[in-house]
Amino acid sequence: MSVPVADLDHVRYSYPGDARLTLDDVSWQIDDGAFVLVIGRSGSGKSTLLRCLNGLVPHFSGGRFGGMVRVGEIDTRAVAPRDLARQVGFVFQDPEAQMLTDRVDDEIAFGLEQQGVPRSTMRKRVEEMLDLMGLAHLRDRSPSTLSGGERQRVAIASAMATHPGILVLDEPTSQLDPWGAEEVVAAVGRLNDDLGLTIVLAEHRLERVLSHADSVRLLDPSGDVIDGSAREIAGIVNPVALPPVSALARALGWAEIPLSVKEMRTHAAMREVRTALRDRSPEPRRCNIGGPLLRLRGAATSHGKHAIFRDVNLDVHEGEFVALMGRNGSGKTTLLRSVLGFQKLTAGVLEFDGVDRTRMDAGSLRGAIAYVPQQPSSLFFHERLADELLYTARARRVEVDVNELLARVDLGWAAERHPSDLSVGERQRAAIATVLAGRPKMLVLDEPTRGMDPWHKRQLMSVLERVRESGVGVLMATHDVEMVAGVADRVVLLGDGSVVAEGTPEEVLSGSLSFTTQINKVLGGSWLTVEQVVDALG
Amino acid sequence: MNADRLDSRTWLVWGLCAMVPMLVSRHPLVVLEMLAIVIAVRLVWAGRLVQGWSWIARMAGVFVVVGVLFNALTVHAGNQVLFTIPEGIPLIGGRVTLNAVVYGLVSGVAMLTLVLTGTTVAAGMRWSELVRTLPPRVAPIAVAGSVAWSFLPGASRAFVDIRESQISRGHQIRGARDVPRLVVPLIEGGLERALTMSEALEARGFGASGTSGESSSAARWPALAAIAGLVIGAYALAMGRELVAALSAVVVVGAVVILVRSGGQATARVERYREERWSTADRVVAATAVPGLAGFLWRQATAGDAVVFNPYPNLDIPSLDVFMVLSLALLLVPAAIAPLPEAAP
Repeated sequence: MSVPVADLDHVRYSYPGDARLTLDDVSWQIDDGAFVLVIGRSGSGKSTLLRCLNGLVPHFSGGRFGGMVRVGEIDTRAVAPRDLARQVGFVFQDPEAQMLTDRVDDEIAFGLEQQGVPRSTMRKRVEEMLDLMGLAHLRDRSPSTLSGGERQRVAIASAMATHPGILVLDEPTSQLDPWGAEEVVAAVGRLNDDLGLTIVLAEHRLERVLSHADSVRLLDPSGDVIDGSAREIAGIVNPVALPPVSALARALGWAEIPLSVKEMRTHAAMREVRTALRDRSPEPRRCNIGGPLLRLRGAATSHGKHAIFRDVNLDVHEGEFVALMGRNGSGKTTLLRSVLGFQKLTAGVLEFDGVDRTRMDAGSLRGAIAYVPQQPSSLFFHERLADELLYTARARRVEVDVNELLARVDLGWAAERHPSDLSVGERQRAAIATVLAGRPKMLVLDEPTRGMDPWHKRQLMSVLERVRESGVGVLMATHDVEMVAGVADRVVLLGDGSVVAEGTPEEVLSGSLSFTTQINKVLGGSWLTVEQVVDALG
Repeated sequence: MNADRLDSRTWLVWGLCAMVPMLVSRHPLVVLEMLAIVIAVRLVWAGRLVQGWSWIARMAGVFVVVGVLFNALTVHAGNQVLFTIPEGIPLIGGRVTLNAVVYGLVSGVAMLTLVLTGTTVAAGMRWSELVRTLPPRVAPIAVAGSVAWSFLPGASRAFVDIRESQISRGHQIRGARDVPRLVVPLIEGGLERALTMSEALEARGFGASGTSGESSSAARWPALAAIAGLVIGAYALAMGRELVAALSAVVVVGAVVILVRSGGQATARVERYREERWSTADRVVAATAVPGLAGFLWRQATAGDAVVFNPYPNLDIPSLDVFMVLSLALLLVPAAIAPLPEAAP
């Protein structure tokens, strides 16, 4: 019988000023050496549950707390989180917000210094962590110069330096690109496999982690909790939340649900599927594309002597959805800023709506191209969401039906709500409604699915489909291959500042090893999404 | 001589020595000499410390224009009258003199030199290095300062993002009335980041009991003595009681020494990962900067009108004090210590 390393006993908790119980009579035992995955929609209490393990709830958050949490022999009610850092390492969502010093090795040593660990031990531990996390070559770099994945590995090394019994990670990959996420999940998997460290991980991107998990705890905003093995949970959770290979197996009614591409490829029922799809291809997409809106020819820009992008040709038409993809640093965000008039082109031509705007600034567009930034809260300064929409309409001197527009983004109920009270996914849709109130001809979005749960992502996809159908051109920078495969009409792939591929999602995404969907990795051809395969198989 | 880098404490010492002349003197030769010294140090360490000079040119323009305009329009003294604004106009009405223009110009350049010195020091310094050298008792405050400092780049990026988001929305930024539209999202985002950072500090063991001493009550009395000595000393100085003020100063210094020493004992368990050591280059910079400043201050105190520039009521050519100029030239030493080429970024 395995030994519990942490034990939650009838825990009840509500945040200050909130009568609703976020955790209602939660009992949970975490076995020593287990890899536990915590999943659920935004607002289901995942982060709150994780923060109970290191005492941030209730010591830091305040609120009403009942029941008991024990970590080893320690009752967390009696010990402050700062002293529990020796037992529980904690890694947060945003790697940038948790870096405290200006050197990687100093960052790892920070917790040890705070605990008065002797210097000789400290030096040994720092070297150990640098090796374990593959960071030795980055030791004297400033965390601000590292990629998101590297920074998150530094955060894990820092949390691990005190040799805690449990490592808790709260959506550590939500702010990272797919390659950064891969690095982090691999590092966490190694800690569990090689050291037998107990891992408690809350995560939305199940395609990378589900196969690692020994057990899964599924939380629901209603307070319901289901515990089970990864395969048991894959059989009952809403398919929207599942990795595409698992969702396809569910849709096809398979008894045993594969959790990874490898398991899917070797599944007994795959032969039948491959036979049925042989010599076939997905139904062509129906799209109603209108006249040209944006036209970039030979566009280039630079920061000083460093070229950001060069010789870029890009078209967006009315009612067309164009996805801009590429690694971090490939020039996506700068290209969006150029389209919006915030970054001047050093060469080439930019036309919008038939007018040459190469030398015009952003103010001259007066909202004709609407922009939803990475942080949608950058838009909000009113206390009611409805006022945000009205403000945009006034700035653009147009009329707006606030209720109708909010209903179009599935937020018909939120007109009177403060934008800050909305969840990450709701805020993103609220931002879209806010800029659409100005009746723009084109919508530009920068990484809109970052940190979003799969349920909200699905809703966002529907909203963007509706926007496109209304004739608005959409240009979206994203790393989200699965989303692009589902909604985009055209994909532009940037690499090292130039366009390396352009075409329909089937043309650009199929046959690639990294820039493609799980379904394509299994089935090849032009198959990209679960829906395409299910439609083809009837 | 060359060095991989200069220690943060060295930058701090050099920065303080470079700033004091700008705070106590408006002598044009002192101001111009210090500007040249700071620019030379930046040029040598530019690859490490700063990127681009265009913002410095813009900043220089702003400081000089504001300095000249403000002084010329509000100070109506001097013998070199350029023109007269009707007396009826409040505040700015009266004679506009060349004396005021020159003084405004010198003040603008002095401000620019101060800002350049500050940004050079801030870029060369490492907060974490500085924190390690402080007595353990004040380390938490320094860590808090370091965290606050790390907020600035994030806040600056957030401001650009907010401004661009609002402009794309059709919003036009015209004046002060539009400021809340930029500031409200900035503050909300800043608070969110502050909360996350505080959680991270707590979860990473900041202020854990392993580092806290048990003699906080023992430190109370020296702290009270220091505050009392400061208040009494200031009062005595204001009342002209030099002896009482001097005794108070002795009490303050003694109390601070006790505080620092008891801080070290109380936190005997505190260990630092990195042992900070001064290189020869650090010693040379500090050993020249301090005498340089001392020489300047000594001339300020003893040479009288020879080192003071006052353009009112008569605008005369400022006198040159060779000793003072040579003293300040010692602050140029960091520029003579070139960064090691292989360590360049």
